[in-house]
Amino acid sequence: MVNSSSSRIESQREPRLAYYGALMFAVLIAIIGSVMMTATSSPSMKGAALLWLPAALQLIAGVWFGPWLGLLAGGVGAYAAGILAYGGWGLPDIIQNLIAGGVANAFLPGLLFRVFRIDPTFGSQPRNVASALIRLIGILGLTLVFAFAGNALHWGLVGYIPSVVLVCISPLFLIDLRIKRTSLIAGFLIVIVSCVFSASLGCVGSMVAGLNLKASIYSVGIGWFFGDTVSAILGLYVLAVLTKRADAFGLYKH
Amino acid sequence: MRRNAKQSLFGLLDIGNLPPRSRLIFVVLSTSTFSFLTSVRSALLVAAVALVIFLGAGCVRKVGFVGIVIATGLLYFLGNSLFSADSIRGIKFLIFRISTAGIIFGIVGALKRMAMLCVSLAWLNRTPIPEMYDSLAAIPPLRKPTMIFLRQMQLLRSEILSFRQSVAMRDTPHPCWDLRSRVLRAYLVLLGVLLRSFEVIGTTAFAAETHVAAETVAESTLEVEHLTVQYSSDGAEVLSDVCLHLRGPGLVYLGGVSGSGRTTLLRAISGYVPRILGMISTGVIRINGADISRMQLREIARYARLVSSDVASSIVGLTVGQEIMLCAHFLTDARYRLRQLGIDHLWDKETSLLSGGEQFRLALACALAAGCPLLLLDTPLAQLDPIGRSEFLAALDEVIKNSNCLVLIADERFDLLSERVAKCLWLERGMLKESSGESITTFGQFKPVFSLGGVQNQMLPTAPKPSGQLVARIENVSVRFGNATALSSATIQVHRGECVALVGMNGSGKTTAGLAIAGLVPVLSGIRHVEGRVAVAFQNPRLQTVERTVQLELGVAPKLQRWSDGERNEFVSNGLKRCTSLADDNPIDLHEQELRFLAVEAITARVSALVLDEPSNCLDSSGLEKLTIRIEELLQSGLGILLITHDEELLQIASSIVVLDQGRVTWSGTSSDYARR
Repeated sequence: MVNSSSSRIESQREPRLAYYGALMFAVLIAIIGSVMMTATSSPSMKGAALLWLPAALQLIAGVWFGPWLGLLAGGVGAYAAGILAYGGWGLPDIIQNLIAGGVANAFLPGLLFRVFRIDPTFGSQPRNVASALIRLIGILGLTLVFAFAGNALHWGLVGYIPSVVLVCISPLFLIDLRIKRTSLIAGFLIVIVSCVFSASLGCVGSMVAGLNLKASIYSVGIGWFFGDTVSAILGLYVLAVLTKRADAFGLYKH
Repeated sequence: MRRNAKQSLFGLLDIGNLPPRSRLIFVVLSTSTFSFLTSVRSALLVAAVALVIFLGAGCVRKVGFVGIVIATGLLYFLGNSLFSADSIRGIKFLIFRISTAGIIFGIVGALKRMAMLCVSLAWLNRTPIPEMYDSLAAIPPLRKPTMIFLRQMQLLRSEILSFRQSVAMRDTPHPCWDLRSRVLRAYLVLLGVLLRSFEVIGTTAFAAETHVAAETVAESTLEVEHLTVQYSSDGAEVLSDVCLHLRGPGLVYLGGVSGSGRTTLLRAISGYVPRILGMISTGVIRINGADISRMQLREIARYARLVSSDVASSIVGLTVGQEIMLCAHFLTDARYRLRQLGIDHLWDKETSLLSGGEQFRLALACALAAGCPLLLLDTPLAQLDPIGRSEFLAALDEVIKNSNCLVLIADERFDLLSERVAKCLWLERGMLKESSGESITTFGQFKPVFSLGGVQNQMLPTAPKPSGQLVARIENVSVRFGNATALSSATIQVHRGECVALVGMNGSGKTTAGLAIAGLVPVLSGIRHVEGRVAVAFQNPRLQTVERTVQLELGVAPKLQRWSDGERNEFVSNGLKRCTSLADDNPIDLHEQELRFLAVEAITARVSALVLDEPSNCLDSSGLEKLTIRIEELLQSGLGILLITHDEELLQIASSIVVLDQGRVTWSGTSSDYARR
């Protein structure tokens, strides 16, 4: 019933609406991104923001407007942010802002959400999604703590068993919530994959700018990954809150 | 003498001397090259050259620019010196390792990044947005997206400023280390921007697609058959089974109380519904015989053009000239229409720098210049000053006389239109009633003359006398935006229990004066004195609301001011009683009238004075009556009110009046003196 009425509304909408939405998101990303690049820049690679709130907007753009328009919004927005924040017109900035912002943070999640047919509302009320995300972040944190502990204690492969068990039983922590658990966990994993890819591109950009591999991973890559992940998880919550409204405005391309 | 020589030397090296496109190419090539520098000498050289360019572009006068450059250099130097990975042989210090290689890398990196930033900031400082467009839009298919991107950039920056002002005026001062307050303010601004973006995307898409010159047609007809419209599939019908047949030329008046569906009918005819918002459940609309349900917006715009009340987001051009040339067939026509609306002198002015009234004049000039056979005007008179109204109506008369244009107009000021109207329509709860003649007095809820003039004896409060205690005063205050002076040595004061009206032409600086009294714009010179806090009800209430629901919006001020739960609940429930019953609705979805009352109620938390900026815009007779009663209540509770208005009738509430012209106070006195004047 809901699907038929939303497809009926979609059929009456201007086809270029999503295109203008992507342009608007590019502007939002540019303005918010330029502030983040200035305020949370990596101390050893200007422009590599260690807290990248626009990752939330890039994820939303990819999911709502589709991978290609998401690429436009995420890439152009981040590139413009670099220009405004620190005069980043060159090759490293094209890699770190245009490509990482567009391909990794927007195109990839947009594509994966469609390929795996994930419902961006996660079939739930926003407060359930918020609660679920807090628990998932907690599980992720514990997984990392166990993994580091196992590594530090030189337990070899056995040291990773607690982490693997924790990941496998993670859906159990969401059992009391009325939520599409599979969709939310898949969304969570997509965020992590795209942020790993984005951080890798960030490292490549910083290597082009002159850092060596080790320096680029330690001083750019790790901060980049965590900064993007925190923000993109916030994006998952915003998706749950606003996707229905976006659908009513004809901005969510099914 | 020496200073002049210095200035001329730097003037020669000013990046602004280059043509826009060459300037951009220089910046891109130079900054791209800088990032590959590896030696200290080369980095020093480019940093010196970049510094000269920075100084030549006058960036040194901008404290923010200088701060960013220095902070970038320091951060990059320290970051690379302390976190260098090539530090095996370096000195260990706490968690850091410091090595010569790291320090050299830090110096080179800092210098080249500072050089890149200097050149880029020089470009930004010397390139106004229209020139950015000229230099970026080299490839024809990229011109329109570039223009819209830059226009959105302008718009979003001004909207962020409005939301920041909206939150700041509802808050009490907190120490700079109060993180909770800062985070809450930032969250509210971001939320406001995000919620507003839905609406802006729609209006921008609509404007961008409908900025086209129209078809010339022999006649203009409009047929609406059994039209039913909803805004959501499970929502109520806003229009029910509306049937309508009109033939041009002529002016058709569309009447109705607030929320009766007038805006929705105009939106449906223009294609805004359902192309952008809402859905047509049943019915057909034909313009000149063609069914518009099968047309794209661009095609519909060749026959019908809508001017809506949210005009700022409907402008896509970066300058006045560019905006009107997107619609006009010829330059002479564009110039002529701007002259008719009294804004031909603003041809090169950036659209983002226009006042609210000037923006509306521009939108009307564009609509007239497009030469559409069907013009749809939603409350066009409310935002114009009295002279602007006369100019616009004269232009409209000429268009109707000299073409086959059919004009459908929804406006509360029937008194100004009555002599021109060929036919009247009346909407009541989404259903259409039609009169055969030009009179609409037969319709039940219509008050014959909208204005306080017609009903003043029954409802108007007498202008109260001020109690003498000053609550807000600006003295010799000047405000500049860029190179333009918005306010010049203005002195305005408001006493407790007093209503001061601020009047003047569109663009005379009234809104700026209101913001200056509330302390929401930086002043160049002069003194501001306020007892307590002053808040502003914005001219466009959509730029004031930041929360997701009406209830939450009313709770913003108590939340920021950290009231107790009991006080907050009482304030919210009182506010709800006065503005709307739709507590859980998104404020953006409210009718214009309800939204306007919400905007007023949301800012009344513990204030000593209020600035009401064009509060009567889009209010019907009952809304106006409600507003005057509310103003009276606020005055009796001891608040001072600065009332910015174009409505001569509303001036009767005020005990004193200040006239502004081109940013200067040209007259002030009592309302009785003003009436004699």
